[in-house]
Amino acid sequence: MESGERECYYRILGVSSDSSFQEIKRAYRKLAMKWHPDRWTRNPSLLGEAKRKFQQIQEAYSVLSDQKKRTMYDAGLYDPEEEEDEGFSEFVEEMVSLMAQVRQESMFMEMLEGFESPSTMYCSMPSSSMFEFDESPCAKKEAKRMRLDTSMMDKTGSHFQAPTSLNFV
Amino acid sequence: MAKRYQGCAVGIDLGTTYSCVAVWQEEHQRAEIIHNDQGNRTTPSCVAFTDKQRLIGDAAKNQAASNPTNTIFDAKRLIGRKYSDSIIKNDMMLWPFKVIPGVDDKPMIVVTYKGQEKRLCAEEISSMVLTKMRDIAEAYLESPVNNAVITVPAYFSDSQRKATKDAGAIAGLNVMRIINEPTAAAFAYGLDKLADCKEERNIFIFDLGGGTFDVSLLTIKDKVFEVKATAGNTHLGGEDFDNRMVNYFVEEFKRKNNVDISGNSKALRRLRSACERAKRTLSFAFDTVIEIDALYQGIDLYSSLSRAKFEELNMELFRNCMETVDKCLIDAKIDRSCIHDVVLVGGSSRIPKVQQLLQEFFRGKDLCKSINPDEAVAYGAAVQAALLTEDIKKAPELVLLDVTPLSLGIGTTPGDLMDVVIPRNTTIPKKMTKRYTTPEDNMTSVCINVYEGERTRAKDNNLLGWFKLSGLPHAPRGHPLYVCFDIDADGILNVSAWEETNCCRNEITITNDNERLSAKEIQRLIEEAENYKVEDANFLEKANALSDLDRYVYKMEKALKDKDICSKLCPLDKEKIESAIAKARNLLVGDNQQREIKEFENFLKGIFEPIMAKTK
Repeated sequence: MESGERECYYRILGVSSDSSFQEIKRAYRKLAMKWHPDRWTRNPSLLGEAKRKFQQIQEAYSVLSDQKKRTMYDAGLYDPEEEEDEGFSEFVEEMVSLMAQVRQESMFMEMLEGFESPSTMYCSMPSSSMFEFDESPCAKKEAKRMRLDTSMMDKTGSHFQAPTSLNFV
Repeated sequence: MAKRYQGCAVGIDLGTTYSCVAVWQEEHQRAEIIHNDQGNRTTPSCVAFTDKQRLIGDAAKNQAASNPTNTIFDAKRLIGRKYSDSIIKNDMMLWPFKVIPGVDDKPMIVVTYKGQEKRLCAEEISSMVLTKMRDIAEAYLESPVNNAVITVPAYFSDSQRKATKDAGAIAGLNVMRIINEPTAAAFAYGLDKLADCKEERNIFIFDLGGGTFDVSLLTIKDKVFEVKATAGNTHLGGEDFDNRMVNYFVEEFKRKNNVDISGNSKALRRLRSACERAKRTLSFAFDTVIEIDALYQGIDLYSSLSRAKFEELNMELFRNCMETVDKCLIDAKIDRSCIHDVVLVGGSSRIPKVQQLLQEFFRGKDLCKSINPDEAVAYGAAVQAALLTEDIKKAPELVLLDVTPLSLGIGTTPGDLMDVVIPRNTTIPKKMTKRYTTPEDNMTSVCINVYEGERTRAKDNNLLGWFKLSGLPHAPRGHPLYVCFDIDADGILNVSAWEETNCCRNEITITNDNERLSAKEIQRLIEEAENYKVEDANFLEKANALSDLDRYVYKMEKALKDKDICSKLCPLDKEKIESAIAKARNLLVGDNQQREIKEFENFLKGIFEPIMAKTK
C-alpha cells in the first residue's frame, strides 16, 4: 500500500517534465492554496482527503524544486524511502550531463558524417572528458559507481545502500 | 478527527512577560487588539495569590513588590520542562517564588493562598493568564469565547507545545491551533503591508520578546505564506537583559555598601522593576538614573546607567541573536542579499544595539518597524483563528505553509544514533516513509523510539514516545521494515511501522506521554480552575457588599450630623440609629460572609428608612 506505485510527481503538480523551476513553484502555490487542510475546515468530511492530497503535492514539490533530487528523479533513481546521499546525487548529475554531452556529440558526429567534413575539431574534446572521468581520483565516487552498476543490473535502480538497522529490545 | 469550530474565536499571544488578545472583525476585514479592564492592550503574564484573593494581570504585577514570593511570572519558562533542566536551575536563583520538583520531575510552584500552601504547575499558571485573556475578550465582544489560537515560540519543543495546549484546556478553551509566533507576526505584516503581493517577497521576521527569541524566513506570494526556515532560542529575551542588569547592580551595591541583597526577594523585585524601566528608557535616551529609596537595610540605591554600559552588559546575548539569524538563513539556503523585508517583532527588538547589529548583518538594509511589535503576534493569531472558524464567511484568502522547527526521527543501532525521518524546516502536513532493516537474525520484535532534536546521539534528543513492533517472521538480519511519520497541520505526529509483507503492524499517535498531564488530571485542574473562579467571584461580591454597607453607614452618619434632620428626630430613634451604626462598624472590620453583610444592610434599611420618612 504505502510502498505501492507512486503517481508521477510531474502529473501531481500538473506540469510537464521540462517545466522551469518558476513554473513548478507557481503550480505548487496554486495547488497548496487549494488543498491545504486549513482551507477545508468548513468542509470537514473532506479534510482527510485534503491532507492526503496536500502531502502528495508537498512531496512532489520537495523533489522537483531541488535540482539534485529532480535530476535523480528524472533518471529514475530517486527513492523517497532511502537516505539522501549527497555524493551519489552529485555523481548522477555528472552522469546525466555526460550522457547529454555524449548524445549531443553523437548527433554532432552524425551531422559531421553527413557533411563529410574534416575531423580535426571534434576529435579531442569528447575523448578528453571521458578520459578525465575514468581516471577520477575520488574514491568515493568510484564506490558509488560500483553500487550503481550492480543495482542497475539487478534491481532497475532503486536500493543502493544497506539501510540503517533499527533499535531492538 | 475533524473538529468544528463555531462562535467567536480569538487569537492569544501568550507571552513570557506580557500577553495580548485579538479578534478578527469580519465587517472591517481586519483584526482588532482588545484592551483589558485597565485600558491596556497588553496584559502582564502574572498571577498573584494573597491571603484574601487571587489576582491576574496588571493587578498582580502592581502588587509584586509587596508580595514577591506569591507573585508568579515567567511560567512560560517552566512550561513543558523538567525540574532538573539546567535552564530552570539558573532561573530559579533569580525568581523570588519557590519552585520544587513534583511527580516525574515536573517543576511545581509553591504559593500561599488564603493562608494555605498550594502547589501549582506551570500549565495552571498559564491557564490563569489565558482565563484572564478570555475574560478580556468576552467583555469586549459581549459574548462567550470558547475557541482560540494560541501562539508559542517557533522553537518550542513538542512537550512545550503540548503543555501550552493543556493550559488552554484547563482554561476551558478549545485550542484550535498552536501556531508559531514569528509566523503569526508574518501574517500581520503580510496582510497589513503587502496586500495582495504580486511579486515573490522574502520576509525575515526577527522576534525578540520578553523571554524567547525566534527568527523565521518566509516567502510570500499570491496570499501563500510559505515558511522556509525557522530558528531560535527558547530562553533569550528581555528578562535576560534585566537579569544582567540586576546582577550588575547587586555587585555594585555590594561594593559600595558592603551588603548583599541577593537573598532578599523584596529588594530584588524592586531592583528588577527599576532595571526593566531603565532598559526601556535606554531605548531612546543615552543614559538614565536608577533611584530606589531604602532598597535594603535603609540604604538607598542611587546610580546611573549609560546605554553603552547596558550594551556592554548584554553584548554576548546580542551576538547570540545574530548567530541564530545566520543559522536560519543557512537553513533556508537563501542569501542575506535576497531578503526584501526585515520585520521587527517583540518588545526587545526596540533596543538600538540589536537594531544596529541586525542592520549591519543585512548590509545596511532598512528595518521594517511599521507594525506594532507588541501586538503583531496576537493580530496574526486572530487571522489564523478566523481561517479555522466555520462561521466566518469572509475570512481572508490566505494559506500558511508552516514547518516543523525540529527534526523528527528514530533511534537506530548500532550506537543509538538518531536517524532523521522528517528533517527540520519541512512543510507540514507531511508524510514520510523510510525503510529500515532488522539488526539481528530471527528477531521477533523491534522497539521504535521516536525522538525530536538535532543531536547525533538519539538519547540526547527529546524522546516523544516509543512502541514495539512484534510478531516479525523468522528471518536473517537485514529483513526490511517500514516506518512512517505522518504530521497533520496541527503538528500532531503519528508514527506507524510495519513489516514488508504486512504481516504485522503497529502505530502510535504522539499525544500523551508521561510528562504530559493526563485527561483525568486536566479534568481535575479544570474543576480547580472553576473553584478559583468561584472564589474570585465570591471575593468580588463580598467586597461589593462591604462597600455597599460602608456607603449606607456613611449615609446614616451624615443624616445624624445634618442639623435639619437631627432636630426632627426623637431621641429614641437617634439612639436606635447610633447603635445600628456601631454594629455595622463591627461587621465591616470582621471577617463575615457576604450573605450576612447583605442581610445586615437590609436590616439597617429597615430601621433607618421609616425613621427618615418621619422627618420629611
